[in-house]
Amino acid sequence: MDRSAERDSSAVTGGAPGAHGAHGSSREVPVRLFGPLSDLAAAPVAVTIALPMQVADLRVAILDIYPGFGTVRFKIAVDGRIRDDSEFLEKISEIALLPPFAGG
Amino acid sequence: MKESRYQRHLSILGNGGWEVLRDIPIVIAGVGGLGSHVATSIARIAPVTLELWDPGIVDAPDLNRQILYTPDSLGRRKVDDAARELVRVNPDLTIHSRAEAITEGSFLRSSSVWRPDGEPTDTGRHSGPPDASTTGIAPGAGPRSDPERDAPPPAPPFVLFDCLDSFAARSELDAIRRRTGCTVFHGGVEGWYGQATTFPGDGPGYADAFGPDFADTPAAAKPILPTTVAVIAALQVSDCISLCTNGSPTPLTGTLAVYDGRRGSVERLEYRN
Repeated sequence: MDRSAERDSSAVTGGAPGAHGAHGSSREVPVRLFGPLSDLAAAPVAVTIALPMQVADLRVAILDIYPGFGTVRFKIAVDGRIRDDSEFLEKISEIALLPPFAGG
Repeated sequence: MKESRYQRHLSILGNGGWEVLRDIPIVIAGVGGLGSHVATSIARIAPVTLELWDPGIVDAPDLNRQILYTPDSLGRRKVDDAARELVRVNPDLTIHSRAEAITEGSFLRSSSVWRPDGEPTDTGRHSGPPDASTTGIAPGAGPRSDPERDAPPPAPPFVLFDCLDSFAARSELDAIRRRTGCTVFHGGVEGWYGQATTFPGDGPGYADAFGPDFADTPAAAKPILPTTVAVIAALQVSDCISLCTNGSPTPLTGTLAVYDGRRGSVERLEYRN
């Protein structure tokens, strides 16, 4: 399977949940925010995506929509599991952005 | 004394689990917010051997969450006041203090619970083997007496609580873990939020949970709530109790528990199957 071709066709748009209905093969997925990221978003966050796509592409797309998140280092969890940026995503129900908390 | 002082939790730790916890050396890296809570809880559970590492002195902003210290502690070395207070909590503790930063080098050079040849140097003062068959974990450190027997896997040579305040410093704990095979109970906090997870000596580590460049994570923002520290420390100690009672993997092995105090939630996110 030519993953790169599929990556190129991936589409991501953002906005509050409900602002984007599913169209074509894309669908809206809620994004849960933890820590300082939740302070950077004034409203609930969601992205509209077309699968499959690579986690790294999802990260870039989220930062395109919410550039303020670029000030915070975070990992991406999909459906309850933290993913490497190299992983391909075939199904997504929920995305979570997890900044590590360094203090002790 | 054991029957009265520890009566309320002996049955929870099971027949033998309490003895495993009592006999395994416990290293606490950082005696600040998390370390204060972790050490106090452990001290109340069993007369353990503790090794405290922290180069710091007590400063006024520490007093909002570092429960081992009082205004009288200001300006004094943390490890000294922590040891003094912990002995007041439980006079039967054995405490080793190291007023320096914990690194792979300093630990291998100065630890009282580990030698570079792989042998523990202090496994506690207590004798009497716990019953491994009831705990799922072999007691203490060192080789089993009967290697031919179908016994549970050996306990780690010691356990290490990560109560540090930077991921750069935590990279040293990961090096110690890989070198010694110890189990690391990680905790991290910031504001309303925190996370906890457990890294066994032969299992996933910091890079699996936080990415290969985890050591580059910026230092924490200063605001920290005492309630957040208490929750994360409790998760760390609970997982250590699980190790001693049920063996590995513990509930937080390969799983990050993420606490959000604003929502009152603790979520479990896997990072390795």
